[in-house]
Amino acid sequence: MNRRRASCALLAATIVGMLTLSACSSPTSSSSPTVAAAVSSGGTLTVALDRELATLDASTAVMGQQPVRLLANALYQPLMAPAEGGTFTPGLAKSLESDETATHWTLTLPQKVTFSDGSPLTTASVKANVEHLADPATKSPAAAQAAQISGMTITDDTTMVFDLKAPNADFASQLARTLGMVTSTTAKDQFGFPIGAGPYTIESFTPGDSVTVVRNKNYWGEAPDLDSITFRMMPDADSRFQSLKSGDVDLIWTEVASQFEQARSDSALAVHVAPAAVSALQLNLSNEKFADVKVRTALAQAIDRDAVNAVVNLGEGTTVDSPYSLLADAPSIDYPKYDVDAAKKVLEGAGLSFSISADNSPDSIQRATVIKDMLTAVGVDVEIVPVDGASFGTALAAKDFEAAVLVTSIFSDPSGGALVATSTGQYNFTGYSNGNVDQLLGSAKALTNGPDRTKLLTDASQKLATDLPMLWLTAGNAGFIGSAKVAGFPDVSKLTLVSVQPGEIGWAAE
Amino acid sequence: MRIAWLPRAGRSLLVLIVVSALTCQLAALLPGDPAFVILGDESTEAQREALRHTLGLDQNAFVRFVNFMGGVVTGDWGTSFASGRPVLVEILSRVPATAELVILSQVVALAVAVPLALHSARNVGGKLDRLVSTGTFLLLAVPSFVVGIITIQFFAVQLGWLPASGYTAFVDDPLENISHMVLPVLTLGLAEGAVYVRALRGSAIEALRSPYAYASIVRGASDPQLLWWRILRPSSSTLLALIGVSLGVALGGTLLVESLFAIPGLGRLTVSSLGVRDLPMIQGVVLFAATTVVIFGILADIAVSRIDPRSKHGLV
Repeated sequence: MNRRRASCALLAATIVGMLTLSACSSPTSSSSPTVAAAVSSGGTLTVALDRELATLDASTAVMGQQPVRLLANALYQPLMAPAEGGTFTPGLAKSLESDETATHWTLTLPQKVTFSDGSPLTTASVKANVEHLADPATKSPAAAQAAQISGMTITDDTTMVFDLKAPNADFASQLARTLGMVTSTTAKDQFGFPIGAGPYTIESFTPGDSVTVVRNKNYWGEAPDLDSITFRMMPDADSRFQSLKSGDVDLIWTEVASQFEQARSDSALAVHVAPAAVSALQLNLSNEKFADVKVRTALAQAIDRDAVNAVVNLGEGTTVDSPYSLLADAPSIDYPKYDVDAAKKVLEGAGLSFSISADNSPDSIQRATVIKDMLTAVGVDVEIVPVDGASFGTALAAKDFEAAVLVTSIFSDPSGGALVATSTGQYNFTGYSNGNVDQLLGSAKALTNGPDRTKLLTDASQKLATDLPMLWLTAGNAGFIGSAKVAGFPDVSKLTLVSVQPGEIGWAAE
Repeated sequence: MRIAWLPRAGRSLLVLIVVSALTCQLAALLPGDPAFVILGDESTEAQREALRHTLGLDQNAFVRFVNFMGGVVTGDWGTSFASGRPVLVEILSRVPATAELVILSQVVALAVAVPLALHSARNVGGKLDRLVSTGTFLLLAVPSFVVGIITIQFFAVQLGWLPASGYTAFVDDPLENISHMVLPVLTLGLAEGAVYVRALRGSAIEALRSPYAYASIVRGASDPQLLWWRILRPSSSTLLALIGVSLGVALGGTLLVESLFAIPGLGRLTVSSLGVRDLPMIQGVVLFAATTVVIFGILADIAVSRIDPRSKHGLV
């Protein structure tokens, strides 16, 4: 009798529970498109991030990644901020100026900058933070950038000079990343993370689930408009987009072309993106299959970059032909044009076969598949090797591949070119070594932006387009899709690194 | 009785030790370098080498195994590379979300499966039986994440009745918690329910052909009396064994459903730990998952022996 009653009660409770939940739940808010002319003060924004965060420590790799920049900027406003066409503008800093050799950089802070606990953020704080990042015990990816600094001279509380071991005209870009996120080396918040000087502070943090930030009461600048921002960690791209459409979240990070396409046709949504993810096919030059430049040229001629962009990016991105294609002063060069007949003359019947390694994300595999189809059409036998994300970087660094599709944001500023093309560049996965290119890019590194520097970068790009250690593909869109009611969102379309200061955004005034 | 369970307990302990030993080989077996992931690709080999030493990755597998087991015995499961917090603390913080998801989905699965399976068995070839067979095969054929996407599209996006994703702890807001759990529980519960229907229906058909079932029918027992009082108990052995396995495996993490619905459970912890090669965390979640499988396997065996004493003597 008891068992029967229990079974019936179980079934009844389930059914009643379902009905009750349906009755209690609120209907979807049907928002109409709004022209965000003004930002109202107050309210909460819910943002969906594309990854799980186990830590909010500014010194870790994850906090420097592009999809997490909105959160990182909220807590640790970097000294510099990306501007149009790969340039940089002061963020937390008042100014950053180089001498003629690009070896000594003078940083000036605004007066009365404070950390979130009200303690002053001075040049001594900046120096201590750089030393903290350089310390191997910190285990920070910024240690490599900190290691280029040979000395730091403090003039006063707001002025200091960075002395670099070697000229680096792109030093400003590094202060827009982890190296420029100044945290206190003495004070931590209730979650154990070093405090920052951003417009928001952490109110709650559940690792792997969500972070809520609230206005920093001691913020030294103009108070942010939103009362709070909740960041939810939602690794599944479809789930993020569905949650946005259902009104559960207000803003999502995405790099999925089909979602941009759908959002553009939905008047309740707004798209804020830039072609920030550059892709290129890396050829391992230590492999004799790629030793002949005629073969590499024919491979480049076999790839229709417009078609790659149309298929993989659904036309949302753009084609690239050099490491500097995204920059405002992008070089104009001659890159091998799509020419199937010319490619066939070299490749058809030559028996060339190789593998293309690609990280196992859907868009990378799709990109590799499109390239495979194009190369098959000219007589090349291609095998695709999917590799998981964590192993992919290791495989590239160890040159454990024949060809590999690299998708990266390192070309968001001029320093990216030297990383892939110089003999000792950390991202030189192809094994390319050309003294002329090393010299051109070395000289460019010692010049601040100007016509002379552009000329050097153009010459190096042309040399790369001739030698073809890597075959350039496209720059795919990356960025945010949000409710059309979110106002104050800056125009990011001209940026090469999507980094938004959340203090500027809020809800549109009614 | 107690003595009979000793060999089983010993075998279970051996399983856990073997699993722990295998996970200690992960550093050698898994492609990818944790130091590379932590320090980024602009780091130098010298920096990465120093970090490998700090993290103990340059020790051999046996030393790592001894250290790990010594830690497990004393309650120290290591420290996460990714968060810097104790592994056991991280795992236990994820258990409530996964446990709630798994337990509620089992409730839904049983609430759906038991009545459908019993009534299908009573009317083999009938309309209900054909409908149930088609439905269960459909649910078995369609992956759970597809069912999840469909439920999100229908209930969250189209109707707006329920949130598409997310999680609120029950202690923080019970109503929010329940509304967030409905879709993932349905997604997981219906898939489990389909398996249970197939298992219980077969056993129930066999039981209905037994002499005691005929005797009950002859004595005028109604269908509900027959099915719920005479058939359910003897038909439940397979079902209970299945539940034991399902609970154990699912508590180790329900990867797809947790990822799809953004539930911060053990499944997502496992995936994210693999993504960043957080070896101590991977070792921890594997050991935790193995422990739950072993424990629920034992509990299922006990339950089966209680409802069907023949199983103790190997008669079924």
